[in-house]
Amino acid sequence: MKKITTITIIAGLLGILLALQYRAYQKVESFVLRSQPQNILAELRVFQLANQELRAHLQAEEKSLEEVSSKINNASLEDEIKHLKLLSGEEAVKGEGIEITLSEPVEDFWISDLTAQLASAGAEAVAVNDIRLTMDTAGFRDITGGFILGHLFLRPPLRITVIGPKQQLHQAIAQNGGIIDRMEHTHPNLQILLSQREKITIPAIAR
Amino acid sequence: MKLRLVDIFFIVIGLAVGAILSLQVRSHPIASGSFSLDQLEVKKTLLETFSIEQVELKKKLALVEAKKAEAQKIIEGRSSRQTLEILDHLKALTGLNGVQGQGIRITLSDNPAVSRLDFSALNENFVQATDLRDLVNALFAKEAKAIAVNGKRIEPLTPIQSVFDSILIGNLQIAPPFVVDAVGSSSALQEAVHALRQKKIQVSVEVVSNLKIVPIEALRILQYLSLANP
Repeated sequence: MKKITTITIIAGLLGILLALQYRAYQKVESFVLRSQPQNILAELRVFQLANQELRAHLQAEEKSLEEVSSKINNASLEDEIKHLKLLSGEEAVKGEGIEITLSEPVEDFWISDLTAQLASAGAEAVAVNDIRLTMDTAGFRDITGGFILGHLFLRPPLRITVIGPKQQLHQAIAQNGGIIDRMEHTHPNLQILLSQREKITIPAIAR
Repeated sequence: MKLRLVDIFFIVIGLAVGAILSLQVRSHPIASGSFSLDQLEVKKTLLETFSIEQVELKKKLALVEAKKAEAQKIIEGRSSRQTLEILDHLKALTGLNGVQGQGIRITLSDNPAVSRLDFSALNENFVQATDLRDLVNALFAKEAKAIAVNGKRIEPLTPIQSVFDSILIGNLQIAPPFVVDAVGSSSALQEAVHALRQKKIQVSVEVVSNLKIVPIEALRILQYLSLANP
């Protein structure tokens, strides 16, 4: 009787240890899944691309400076206004890109991680259920059964439309171990549809 | 015989408990790097090269942008009031204007118990890019009118990414401590910080009555975007 009690206590302890170990592993896994760089080269590539973009930016600014300097006599701001209209969300925009559909809501951080990934891959405009992300509308919050974006409640499916280099955008998120893989791994019931499109249209923001 | 079987079972359970405890104690935290020294050296060298290149590029860019701003001012001085109003409105929508007002300053620092110099790529004690991303998202959700990280204005499509132990905001590398300024209702914005307080990093929040946030340094280059109804 005494031995059975001892064995029960030891088995109980063992169970507690295993449960603790499993919970600690799960906690670490969720942290690692979100933060883990895919590999060293991928990380270096990010830095290299950032510098490439800076170089491209410098060239574009030098060209723009030349244009602006030549326009001093014409006093024209048309180009700048056109550029700002494209960025502001005041007008509907179009271009090649990708479309991602999520069948059910996910935690808000997945959407901001996805947006960051798309932005670093060259996204020029992003919209969720046709609401373009701008200074006025940004900020996701997951609540039961959907999402809050700005002042709007969005129900699943969530349709994320992105204008930018479609192949690069697709590659950036669909690679093995990439964000789509990780989202699917953590949400077994989630279905993600990803497609490249020749033309994506994002409506103007209703202000 | 029956007694012996129980003894053997007892010993096996004891050994299993011992083995698990031993593995648990001996296991290394996930945070420690697993790269070989060679890879670490190459990584450090490349990072240094990229960082130096970035500083040079940033200097050149600042110079060109200053010249361009000067030329723009001359053009604006000669433009009609209506055109300038449209321009100001669009600049405000795209973050090209300075924003001033009440807000909060959040400072995120690594846990003092760790050092970034040890090149651990993953560590909950370090401020991660994901922490900054979550904070910026939460601040926007709390209707921040403008946000800046280490003095650099952020817009919703500004990528915040980790590169080894550094963090890139857009294309520029920043180092801790990370100072996040947000203009808006200070009480609402403070709610955005709650989630970070559960982490192992240091978080301090200060209400500032008159925060100034600079305009976005430069607009994104657009190659794929065009007006749907020109």
